Amino acid sequence: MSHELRTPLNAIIGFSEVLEDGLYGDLNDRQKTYAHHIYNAGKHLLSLINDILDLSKVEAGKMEFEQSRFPIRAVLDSSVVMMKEKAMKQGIALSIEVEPGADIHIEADERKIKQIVFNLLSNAVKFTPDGGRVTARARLATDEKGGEAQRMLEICIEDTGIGIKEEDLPKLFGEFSQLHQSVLTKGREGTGLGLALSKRFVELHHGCIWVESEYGKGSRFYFTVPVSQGEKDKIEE
Amino acid sequence: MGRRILIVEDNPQNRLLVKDVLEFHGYEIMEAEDGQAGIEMAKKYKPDLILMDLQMPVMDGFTAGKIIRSDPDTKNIKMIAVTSFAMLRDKERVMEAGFDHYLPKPINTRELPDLVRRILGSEKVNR
Repeated sequence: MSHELRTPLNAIIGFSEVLEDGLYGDLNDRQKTYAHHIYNAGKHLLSLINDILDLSKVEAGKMEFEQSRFPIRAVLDSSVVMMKEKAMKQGIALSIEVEPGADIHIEADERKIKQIVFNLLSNAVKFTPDGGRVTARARLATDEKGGEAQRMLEICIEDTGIGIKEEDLPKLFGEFSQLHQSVLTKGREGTGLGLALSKRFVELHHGCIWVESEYGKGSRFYFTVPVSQGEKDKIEE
Repeated sequence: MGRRILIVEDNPQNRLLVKDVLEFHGYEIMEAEDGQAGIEMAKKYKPDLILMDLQMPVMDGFTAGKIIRSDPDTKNIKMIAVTSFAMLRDKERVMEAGFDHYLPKPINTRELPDLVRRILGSEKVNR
């Protein structure tokens, strides 16, 4: 179904771009703005479709888990690089802090971990006022599920952003839960599905995702995933 | 003299989009609407570059790409695979099939001309 949903959008996005660029004749300013709106709306709809397709795949139990072994630092690095330009424009300091013990390879689905990290990072940058700070941290933790200690990697994305009201916290990981309707108009658009999808991806890894936030001061989004997926790594106590 | 590019894509709108963008940048464009027709056009007209959609009726882009790569008449033609976001994981398969580059849809019409210029200007990749 994905092919059928995306194909018309390729035309909408592509032709509006060509129109705006005036390849075959200039548009006037108002027409250019219209073409730009069509382009933006097309892009937005495409991200929505991609997220919804991913969500429904997870819900139907059809999301494949592509396990590999990779260094967690590389995932943090590449996500930070992708956000750098946007952060710089807003004067936001982006940094990575990996505890020595956590600078390791993990066994997980790299693409999904990347998507979670990128999603949390872009949320953090989106909701942090100019001149703020966003930090990605990694450390090792233990999980005592079922009496067996398991080595977990804990990622924390911390920001000095607008924060979340306590009463809003429970809604946060639901679908279409964008809380900040008022700030949406300031260009802070998103699909409203990013956190719901991140939660599903973390659960596929048998990890946890949660948030600590102080309204007006900032937020800390955490997630954990087991260091290895197959044979559970036991810790000598 | 404009260099020749063959677009192999079943969707007429996508074909027109790529054609108009590349024609604007001075390329001579030819079109085919499935992999089978693409192979025939490639043999007959020896384009400098082929932009190949992967999901097509009659013959998909993987198969067509492999055949073009294994035919002595066409094996040196540069090829870019074009496909939707959902198939990004197929990147390895695409490179194995002999493509020089991989381009996800929606095609960025502002970056496409640069990519084409780079690929046409670059030496044959080692294989």
